[in-house]
Amino acid sequence: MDNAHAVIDVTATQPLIVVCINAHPRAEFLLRRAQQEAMRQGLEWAALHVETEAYYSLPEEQRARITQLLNRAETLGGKAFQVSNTDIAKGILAFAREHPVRQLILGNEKRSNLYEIFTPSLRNQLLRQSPQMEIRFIPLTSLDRDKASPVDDFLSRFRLVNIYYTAAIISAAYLLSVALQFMERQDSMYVQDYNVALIFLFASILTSIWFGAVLGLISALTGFVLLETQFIPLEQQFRMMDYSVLVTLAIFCGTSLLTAYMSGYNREYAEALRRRERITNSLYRISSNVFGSGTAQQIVQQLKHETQELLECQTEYVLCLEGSDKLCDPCRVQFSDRDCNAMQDCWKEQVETGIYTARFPDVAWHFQPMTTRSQRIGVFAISPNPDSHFNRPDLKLIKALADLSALAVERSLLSEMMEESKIVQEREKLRSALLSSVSHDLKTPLASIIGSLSAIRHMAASLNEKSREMLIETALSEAERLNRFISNILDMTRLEKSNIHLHKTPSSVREVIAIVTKRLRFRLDSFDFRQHSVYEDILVPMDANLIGQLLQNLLDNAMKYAPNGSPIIIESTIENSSSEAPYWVLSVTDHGPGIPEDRRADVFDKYTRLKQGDSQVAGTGLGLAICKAIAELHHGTLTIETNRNAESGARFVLRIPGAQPLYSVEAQAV
Amino acid sequence: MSDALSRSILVVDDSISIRTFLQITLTGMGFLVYEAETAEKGLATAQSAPIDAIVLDLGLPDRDGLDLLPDLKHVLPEKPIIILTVRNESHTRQIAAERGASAYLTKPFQVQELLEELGRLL
Repeated sequence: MDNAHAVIDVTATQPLIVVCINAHPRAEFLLRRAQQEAMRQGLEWAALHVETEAYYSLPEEQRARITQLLNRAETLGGKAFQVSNTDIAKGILAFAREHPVRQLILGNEKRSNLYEIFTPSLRNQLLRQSPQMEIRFIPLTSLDRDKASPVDDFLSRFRLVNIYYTAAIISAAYLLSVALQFMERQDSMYVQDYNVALIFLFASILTSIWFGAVLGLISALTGFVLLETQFIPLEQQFRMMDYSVLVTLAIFCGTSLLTAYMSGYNREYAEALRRRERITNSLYRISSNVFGSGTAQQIVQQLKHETQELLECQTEYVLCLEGSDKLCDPCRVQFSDRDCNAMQDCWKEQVETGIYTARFPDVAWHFQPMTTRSQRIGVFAISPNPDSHFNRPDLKLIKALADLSALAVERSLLSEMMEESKIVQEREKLRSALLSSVSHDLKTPLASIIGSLSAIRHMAASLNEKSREMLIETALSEAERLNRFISNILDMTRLEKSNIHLHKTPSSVREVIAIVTKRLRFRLDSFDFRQHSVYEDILVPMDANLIGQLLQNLLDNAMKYAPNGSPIIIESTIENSSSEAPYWVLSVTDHGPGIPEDRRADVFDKYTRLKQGDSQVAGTGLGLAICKAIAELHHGTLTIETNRNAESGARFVLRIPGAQPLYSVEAQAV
Repeated sequence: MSDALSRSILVVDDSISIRTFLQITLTGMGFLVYEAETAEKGLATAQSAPIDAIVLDLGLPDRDGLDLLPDLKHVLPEKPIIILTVRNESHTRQIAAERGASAYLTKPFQVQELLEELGRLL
């Protein structure tokens, strides 16, 4: 008896009073008794509903009542459980094996035998298997079980057309019988009375299956009367003492009623199964769809679509305002003031409100709180549509939808938060990379300057004139580099903020190149510097200072990477295209290591150098980014091309529109 | 610093101005100075030349100085290595110390600081 042990073990820790409920109109009475009993004994209590096959053929109001009762149990301070099993007793026992049930409260209804399943033997079985469990029966009197009567069933499914169909079926049976009788008279065959009887029985069975018990019974009686009056010899008709007549009548009516009952049950069962499958499919679709990716807003749109399709009514999600405990403004769906009050009540108290509930039952909407384990998400609102399949509330389903939706929204909110924190993290990383790169680029020249100057000051005695001279030169050139670096940063900042003022005038390309090369002549001297120009001069509308800086940055870059003595070449020409204004094309080519094709897009990114830390050739890495920004300010482009004339090396090409040649000359070397 | 004569120092730094200024200064103090601008060249020099001390930058173009440190230590286990870098984080200092650096100077620095360290270590 392992199961019994399990019960004893758990009971020892958290005893529980369990009350079994069903859709009985006075079941709430049981809840209150359980609550009182729990208070008296100082124990926890719970309401249990065992879902058997019969549950699915219950009318929807009764199923809704069960859900309401379970919710009611929770509001009364108890727990609520719903288990599925083939029968109630097995369900209770299975529950008792997993939960520490101290006392079991059951309703006992004598008249209509509410818990007829608890036959004494079953009660004994319960007691035997759970000796610790005390079972109490609470009598429930004055009960009107609202199981639909055959008349109700008839009225609810009453269609005038069904009567016509019934009449048609009986007429068909009658005509068939007449035909048989006619054939008998022709001596072509011999027909027994019971053949005719079976034809009418068949008709009444068909009527019962299709149109329910009442029409089935009418059909049976009509059939019986027709049989007795039309097809039985006169002397035998309605001989009351003849048992055969009574037996025929009883068989007709009994078969008809039984068929109607069975087919009605099957119909409801099949309908319940269909509904259940529909719900399962929808829930599956919702869960697989909504747990995909998307923002909370997209998820809500999708949920709305799915739930509207499933419930065949208008649904709405009102979410919690980010970072507060208030709901978003729901005005967009035109809730009435009372609707809003019901919704706020649902949000504040975290209980279902609106239609079908005890709170604000007179409003048009039903509200379910959407809550997950960790937070309140919002409110799920349903406006029941009287024509829909779900005209009566399936509160359990709505609650499940609200919970599922809450999870889906929470998930997307969390993933959004993660995304945001990732971006923040990335930005923080970049910021610290920028800081470390800038500090490296500032401190390296400063180290040379301070080192050189401190050497001159403190070691004057041990330094000869030439060494001192070299130290001063080093300090000076590093100070200039520092100055360039700081200018670059400032330029980049200004270019980024786009508040740089462009002085665009037609300027001489020759002059710009001359100024820059003169400025850099000492450093260019250590390279094989060459300059080619197809034209004597070119006039280009540009800001000469900025283009000068662009060229200087390109040359700086070339000198930084190209080996000493290698060629650095400037070429200036005009590119004519038929459709656009002629472009001035300036290229700077070096024989350094070059830039692999897959990295060419990156070198203009001002963070490229930053991402590599301090393990780089000195410089900010901003130079090329600045060049590109200047080119774009002139509506031009700056690209990197492969050095066609050498195995390695980089070739930067600037194109600026509006070039105007002065006059052509032979290529000249400077 | 009279004993500086005949002592040789390897300067591994990618900045030409730092190398130039250290070359001038240390030569002026009587040291023999070897230069290397990459980790690879630094390691090669350490293996081939008679080196008494190494001045090592961490931000080298081909390899991080912190990674080079154990290799240098392997080649010259007894020789002091002085780190000369702009990095000033405590965990970098700690790693450098764990990997055998004898001293850690941050750029910018006064030349006396380096000379004092060299004097202490040699």
